[in-house]
This record gives sequence, C-alpha cells and structure tokens, in this order.
Amino acid sequence: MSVPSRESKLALFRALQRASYGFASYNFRQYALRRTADAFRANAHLADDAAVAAAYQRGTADLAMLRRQARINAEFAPPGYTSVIESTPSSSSSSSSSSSA
Amino acid sequence: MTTTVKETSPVTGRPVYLDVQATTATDPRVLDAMLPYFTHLYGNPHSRTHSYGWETEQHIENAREEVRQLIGAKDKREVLFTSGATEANNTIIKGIPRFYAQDPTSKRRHIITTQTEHKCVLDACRVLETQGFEVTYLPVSDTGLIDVNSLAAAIRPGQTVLVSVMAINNEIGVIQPLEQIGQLCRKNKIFFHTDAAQAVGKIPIDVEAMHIDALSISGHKIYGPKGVGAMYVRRRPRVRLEPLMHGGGQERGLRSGTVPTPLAVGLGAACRLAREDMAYDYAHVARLSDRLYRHVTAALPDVLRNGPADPAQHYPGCLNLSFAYVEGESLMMALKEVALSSGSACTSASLEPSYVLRALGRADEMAHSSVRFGLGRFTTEREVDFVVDRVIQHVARLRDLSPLWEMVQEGIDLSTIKWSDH
Repeated sequence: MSVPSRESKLALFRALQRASYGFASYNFRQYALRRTADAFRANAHLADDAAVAAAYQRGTADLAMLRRQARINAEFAPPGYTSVIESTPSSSSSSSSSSSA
Repeated sequence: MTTTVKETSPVTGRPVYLDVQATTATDPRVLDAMLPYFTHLYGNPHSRTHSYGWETEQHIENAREEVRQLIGAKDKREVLFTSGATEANNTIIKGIPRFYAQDPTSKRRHIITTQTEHKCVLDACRVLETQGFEVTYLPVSDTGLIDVNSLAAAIRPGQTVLVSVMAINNEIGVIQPLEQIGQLCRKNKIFFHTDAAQAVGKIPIDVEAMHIDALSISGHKIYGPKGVGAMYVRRRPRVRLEPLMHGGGQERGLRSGTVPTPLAVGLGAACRLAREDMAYDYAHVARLSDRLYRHVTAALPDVLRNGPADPAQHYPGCLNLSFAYVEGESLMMALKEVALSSGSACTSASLEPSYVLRALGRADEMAHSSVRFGLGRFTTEREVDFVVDRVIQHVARLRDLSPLWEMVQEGIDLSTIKWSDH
C-alpha cells in the first residue's frame, strides 16, 4: 500500500463531495457531505503512513458505495419528493409572517 | 375515539422528519450491504448441502458478530435474530417465566416491570397475569426514573423470576440505571431483561458490565431495515426460555423460522455503523437537541421538559416538551411542515393522554400539551432552526387564542378557579 499524495487525497475528497450531491434525499445528501468533511478533518492529523493509506483505501471504497447509493436514491425518488427545507427560500426568517396563520 | 392528524392545506415539500423514535430512515450504507442478498445471494442459510446455503450462512454469522460486539456479549451464539423488538420482548417476557414454571410446584411466578414500558412489554405481562403469573408494575419518579430501592422492596425471594426494565424510554428519553438494576437482580438470582430498542447503538450498552441476562434489539430504530431485530439470551449463567415459535429449530431452537438473510445482514451493518460512529452521532444529536431546547425556551415561557435534564439520565435525541396552555394535537396540526408525535406511534391514533406522562404524575392538561422531538443521525441544523421558528410562531399564536393563557397573563392562578359543573 503506497501513501497517497496530497493531490490524490484532495481528488478523493472532491469526488466524495460530488457523489454526495447525487442523493435526491436532502437528509442523506447533507449527511454524506458532513460525514465526508468530518472524516477528512479527523484524519488530517494521521502521521503513520500505514494509517493514512488505510484511511485512503476506506475512502475509495466509500466513494464506490456512495456513487451506487446516490444513484439508487435518485432513481427511486418519488415525484415531487423534496424536503420542505429545500423549498423554503431562507432559513433566517424568524417570526416573520410565513405560510399559515 | 380516534383522530388522525392529516394535512389540511397543501404543503410544498416533505415535512422535516423529527419522529426517529417511531422509525428511522434506512442508512444508504445499510441498503448497500443488503442489496446483494436480493439480487444474487438468495440461498437458505440453513441449507447445508450446497454453496448457496454456506455463503449466506457465513454472512449471517458475520452479522451476528456485529450485534455481539455492539452489546458487549461474550459469545455470538447468545445473539438470536427475530422479526423485531416486539417479538424479542414477547419471547423473553413470556418464555422465561413459562420455562421456569413448568414444574407445577414451582413458586417462581412473579415478574417485576415498570409502568412506563412499551405496550408490547405491558401486554405480554397482561397475558401472563391471565395464566397464573403475578406482575408488579413499578411506578416511576417525576422524571421517569425507577427507584432501585423500591425495586429491591418489590422482589419476592424465591418467587420473582424476571425483572424487565427498558433501557431508554421511547417517549421521554429517560435512561434507567441498568447497572444498578443488574447488580440487584444478579445478587437475588433473578433474570434481568431490558428492552433496549431505543438504546442500542445510541448509548454504550454492555451486557456483561450491566449484568443483563436478556435484551431486545430493533433494526429499524438504528437506521437498519424494518422487520428484523435480535434478542440477546445469556448462556453463562444460562437463561432458559420456552420459545414462541416452533419448527425447524433455527436460532438454537429458540426462534424457529428461516433467518431472512438480507434483513439480518442489514441489522449487522446497522450495528457496525452504530458502533463505529456512536460518539460522532451522539455529539451531533446532543448539539442539535441542546440548540432546539435553548432556542425554544429562550423565546417561549412555560415550556416544561418531560424527563430528566441530566445528560447521564437522558438521551438527547428524544426531547419531550410540554407547552402549557396549548393542546399538543393542535400544535402538531399547525406544525404540518414537521413530522412529529406526542408519544409512541402505536398510540398516536388515540386522544388519550400518554400513560407514560401520566406515570410521571403530569396533570392531564400537561400530558395533553406534550410534543416529542426526535433527532437523529440525518437531522440537520437547518431543520432544527426551521422547526424552532415554526414552534415559536404557532405556540404564540395558539396561546393568543387561549382564554386560559389570557387569564394567566392577567395574574389569575388557574388552580384557584372553581369551574362550575355542567
């Protein structure tokens, strides 16, 4: 197992993020983005070459899984199946007169 | 009388899902692990004469090992697959007392449980009561905790055979003192069962350290598939039980029926993820729960938490709040952009106040004004902020409509009012 270069680690990170956007489900998409970012942050301090290589290999396997699952998730999404969060323009609308009253 | 909360006006988009105690979304990683068993690997794991059976058996054993590790069992043979926690609870609660009462002269016909257990535990106990067993239903404190001293006092030496106390309550999130209960039971040579459907994978559970003799697990509460669960049944000291299912003798003869490979593998994957990410998921859920509670209570007076505030005694992913002078059903109806429940899904069709909240000594009106916010792995901060915004808006609006709220604002103590009889 060779130690991945900085470029290949970055490429893996970007590929994971891109694959995450493939989820039709808002919650799975957000989770995948968050989990990827947190995993890279947690592994950034790995010093041991073998540990870095192992983490990179796990990430590569995760990427294949993420691509499969994002595709399945999108293929089987019922029509009009978006979260109310995505169809609500702004999240900072505190106590302003919104929808129902 | 039943009622169903339905959409009254069109909502754009799916509601925010805050009902994870009812069920959770299947994690895509779990589905990924399951799919090969729906496409190619369809062998009966109990077939011993060909490779179709051998390969699926191997994967089921790997899944069993994942469950074992999550609960700290010594031997994976102590883990048995079931259709869910309801089946596990029924098998254990009926099976253990029935086995040890087989001898007609046996005096071990007493069971202790609590008033706040899940319906399937309470109903299994009711069945036993009609069959010559006696059941003590322990009360709980105003935060939902059982008192270990009253449990000790309820034990009848030589008669009590089983104590069943749930690990985390599905309505209020209270965590029971499992280790203390386990020690007490072990000392008195009584079997200790815990319904851990809401706890496994969320908080550390160790059947050895906690002296748990039997435990129930649900797949779909931990981002696994519906229709599968597991029960832990200790081998040393040996716990014996009379099975509910008879047939091919699968699962050590305690649960006959072909083990559903895709579901068992899914449960195994869910347990692995829960074990690897327990601290990560817990931190996320705790942060969101704290955010929700702080923002709601900062904006609204007279909001009461049901269950303990101490994080050692409360799982943050189950936040149960009572909004005084607001009816929970009205609030949920108004919050149509949020999928919520006031208590368990099994009783959500009923207008009766929750028996769990009544067991805490809550007045009916406070029990009626409760809403449970269930937060999980897939809940986002933006969703929490969205929900906080809507809750504040609708509670304020409903209170403005309430004559009781108006009287309270004028300084009238409602408990001093003499309501005329009609």
